[in-house]
Amino acid sequence: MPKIELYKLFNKKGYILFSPHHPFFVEERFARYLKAFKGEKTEILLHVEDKEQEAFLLSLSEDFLRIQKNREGYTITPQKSAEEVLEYLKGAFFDTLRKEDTLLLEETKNRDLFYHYGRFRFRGFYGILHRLFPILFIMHGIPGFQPMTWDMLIGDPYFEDRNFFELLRHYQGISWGIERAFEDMTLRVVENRALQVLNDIVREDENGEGFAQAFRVCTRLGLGFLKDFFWPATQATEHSEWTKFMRPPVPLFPWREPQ
Amino acid sequence: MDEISIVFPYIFVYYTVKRSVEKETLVNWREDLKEVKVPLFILPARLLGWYEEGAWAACPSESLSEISTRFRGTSSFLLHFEVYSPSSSSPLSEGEMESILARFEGMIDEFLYSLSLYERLGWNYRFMFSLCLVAYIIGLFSVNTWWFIWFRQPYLALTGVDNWWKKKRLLGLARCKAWSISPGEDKRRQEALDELYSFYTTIPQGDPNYLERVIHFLEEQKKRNRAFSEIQRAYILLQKREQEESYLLKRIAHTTWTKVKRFFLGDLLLIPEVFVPHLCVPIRDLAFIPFQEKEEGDAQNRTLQALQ
Repeated sequence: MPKIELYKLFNKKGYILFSPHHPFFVEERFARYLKAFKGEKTEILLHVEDKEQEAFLLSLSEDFLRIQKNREGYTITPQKSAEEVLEYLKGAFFDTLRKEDTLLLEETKNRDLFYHYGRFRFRGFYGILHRLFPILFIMHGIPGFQPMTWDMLIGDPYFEDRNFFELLRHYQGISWGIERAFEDMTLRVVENRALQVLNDIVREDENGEGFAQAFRVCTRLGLGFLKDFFWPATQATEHSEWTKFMRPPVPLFPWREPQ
Repeated sequence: MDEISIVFPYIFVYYTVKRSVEKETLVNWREDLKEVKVPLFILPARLLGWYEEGAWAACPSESLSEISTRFRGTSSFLLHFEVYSPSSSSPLSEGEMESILARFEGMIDEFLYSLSLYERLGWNYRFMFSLCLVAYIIGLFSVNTWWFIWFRQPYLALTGVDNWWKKKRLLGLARCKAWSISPGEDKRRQEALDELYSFYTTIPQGDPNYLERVIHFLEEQKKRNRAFSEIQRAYILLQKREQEESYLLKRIAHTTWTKVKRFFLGDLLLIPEVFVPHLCVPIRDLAFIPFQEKEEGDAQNRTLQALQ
């Protein structure tokens, strides 16, 4: 069952979802889609601090639930049905994970097929080579070249074409897999202790350095991939090693201009 | 001669029909589903990678190729990991267990994906170049001069043979139908791991040879309890992984075999080698309590702060 992991991280303002994957090595993600194409159901694992506190599905914005005050108390009007809420969540995953992966697929596919494009057309490499067929008879006097020439005229284009076909089939399968993976998926919420510790550190935000501390600790908690989140976060929001270059330099000893 | 010409079409039809029936019949794999149980140990360690500095490791006592021998001959199987961790005040939570499983599954899927993709192309290339080999041999007998030995294509008949061998051994992993993980219940393993952990705490912090010391300790205890040898095996795998996951060691040809291979095949290696993953993931240090004694913030250089 292909699994997509999501971590619910605290980022001082609110919560964000972080998905650990490599930004440009595609194998892990594409393997997932190939499995989806073969008919396996995608599972999204949402890591949270505490399952008990997860009433986040109830505290939705006004688009989902409208609360109005009246004489007796409050009127609560659900704006959307449960199905619509699920559709909304699906749309959210669709917008982030799927869009990114589709672009990546196109890029990888074009890169891998670049070598093959146009090679088998009339004006392409093998087209020109085939028009050189009479060379076999011209070269009759030099028998040593015969095996190589046969190979170039008949062997190479045949096998290269097969490679082209295999690659096309492979990437077609992945693109169908992407479509299928986001059609039917299950969302599972799990409690993660390491995540809780990290979120607590950021929440406490000691010396205004919550992200820096979380950055140092996250590897030891087994969530090393979060370094890629905490380090830029440090750069954006906290005093860090880099800001010291933006200040006036500190003198090593008092300096006096010669009179 | 007549008999052969009569029989041949029947043989041909028989095998074609048999093959298509095998392909098209829906097999109910639930009928013979074998459960492969693998003990998984949470090993106290200090990993060194950029993304895992100071973490412990979750490591089974068998490598992937050893696990693959256990389901040979079964049509489908399920893989179940039994987790043993040293007793701790904050044991592994559900999410952490699931993340171990998800990462193992991801690693194996990624491996199978690359292997099957490269093998599709590699098989094709090997077939093509073995035909070249035939042409080469014809040339050898039909031509009296020597220059044709500079045809380089016959050497390429060996492209990706290492991947072919891996495919033979490990492609069976694709038959795994389900993955699961749960805490283990074997008391001997649990006791052994607890004893190991109490030994581990006596090793001074920052000892660069801590893995050797642990392995040596386990070697001594092996006769007393069989579980120690399993843990030792896991530690050896971890040690091997620490050496082989190094980016530099992968790049530099540091063994004789790699040197020979790269010298002869060099830039002719069209199909990249697919590395067999080490089933080993970083996991939370179970003894770690964050900032027990108040730490100084050193994101800002402390000396610098004092001066300003």
